[in-house]
Amino acid sequence: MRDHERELIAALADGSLEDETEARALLQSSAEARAEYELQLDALRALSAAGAVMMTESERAVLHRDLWGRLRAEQAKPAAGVYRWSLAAAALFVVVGLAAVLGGGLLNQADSGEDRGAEATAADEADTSVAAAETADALAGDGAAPMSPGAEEYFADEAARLRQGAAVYRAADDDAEEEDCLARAGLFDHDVIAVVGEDDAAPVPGSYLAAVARGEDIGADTPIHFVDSDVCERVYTDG
Amino acid sequence: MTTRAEEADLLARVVSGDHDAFTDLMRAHEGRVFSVCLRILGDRERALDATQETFLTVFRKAGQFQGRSALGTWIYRIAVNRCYDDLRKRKRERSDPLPMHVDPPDHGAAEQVEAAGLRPELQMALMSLPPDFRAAVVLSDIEGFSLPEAAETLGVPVGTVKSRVFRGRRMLAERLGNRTGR
Repeated sequence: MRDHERELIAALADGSLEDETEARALLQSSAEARAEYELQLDALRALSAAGAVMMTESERAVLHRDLWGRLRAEQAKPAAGVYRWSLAAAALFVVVGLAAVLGGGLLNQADSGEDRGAEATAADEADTSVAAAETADALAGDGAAPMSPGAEEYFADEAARLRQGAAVYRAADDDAEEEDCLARAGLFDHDVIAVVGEDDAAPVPGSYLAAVARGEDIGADTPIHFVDSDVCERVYTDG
Repeated sequence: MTTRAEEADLLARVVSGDHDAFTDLMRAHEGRVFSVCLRILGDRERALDATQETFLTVFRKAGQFQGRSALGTWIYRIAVNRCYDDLRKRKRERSDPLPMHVDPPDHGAAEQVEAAGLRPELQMALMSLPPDFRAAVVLSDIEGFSLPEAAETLGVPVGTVKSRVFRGRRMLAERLGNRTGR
């Protein structure tokens, strides 16, 4: 029996055919078609007996407790990162301010009162920077987390690691779902070589498929694409 | 039944940080997400983990939802992909070298299957299907998705999901037949 005929018989079994004439004729003329029809009916009978699955109240409580716990922890984590960045920015302002003051002092022989003023302005700017960063952080804490600031560096590092021959995982031939995901990201004829981002310490949420064009060795210039495995969208390409 | 406009409004509130809106969104979908994951993974604890990961992803990526599909379809797609992640991780763990200490055989497997809410022989037959066939059968024949809805959730053409459902059903019946000694 051909695939088309099998599908016809299967559709007859589940009642989704608008016109059953061809399928009924096939059923009468072919023992194989009748066997296929019986198999499809057996499966449908077994599946229709599947009862509803309910989450228990304790499972629901655990789900909500753990989920909100993780979201709160995540919202606290970027705060530390932003704070570190704001400190670095403040330090930079101070250095730049000092350089300007010292440079100005040497070149223009400006008086020391003016220097102090400039220094104070730089420090004020640094304070403003910290405050702005903290405000941004507070806003970020309340809303959905955007792609984290370290994401690009993370993917670039992962790509470098893969180029250096770090344990490359090649998907098994039957991993049709990975291939579907790559195709949805517009990457046809590509193979998954690794899955990254599954570590809680990674600065990106979720897991990402690293993929290269099928049959390509991973050289210094081979493009390595990273695809978000949750939504199957390409997020970064290295090389 | 919510309209696209109501979904968009709910999601906008989630993105703006409205925790009540996110709780409403979870309440609307968590039961079915759990059910889909349980049918695909065959284990309540893993299904609960996958449900949690699904809603974490929904929360993190709510701002990226572009409304090209129904919100539910987007959420179930994330759930199915989370289940695939879990299966992939298990497969890699199984292919890792055995540790020095080997655990005794898992005699609780049958009980776990029973806990999935299906007849044990049906759940075991379902678990023996390739994951993409299993997901298609679960969505279409157990969870009652239409073929276009299942196709959108799985991100494949309708023809592909139809073929997976038909072939999955045949495999399932063959395996059930073998188990019952036919």
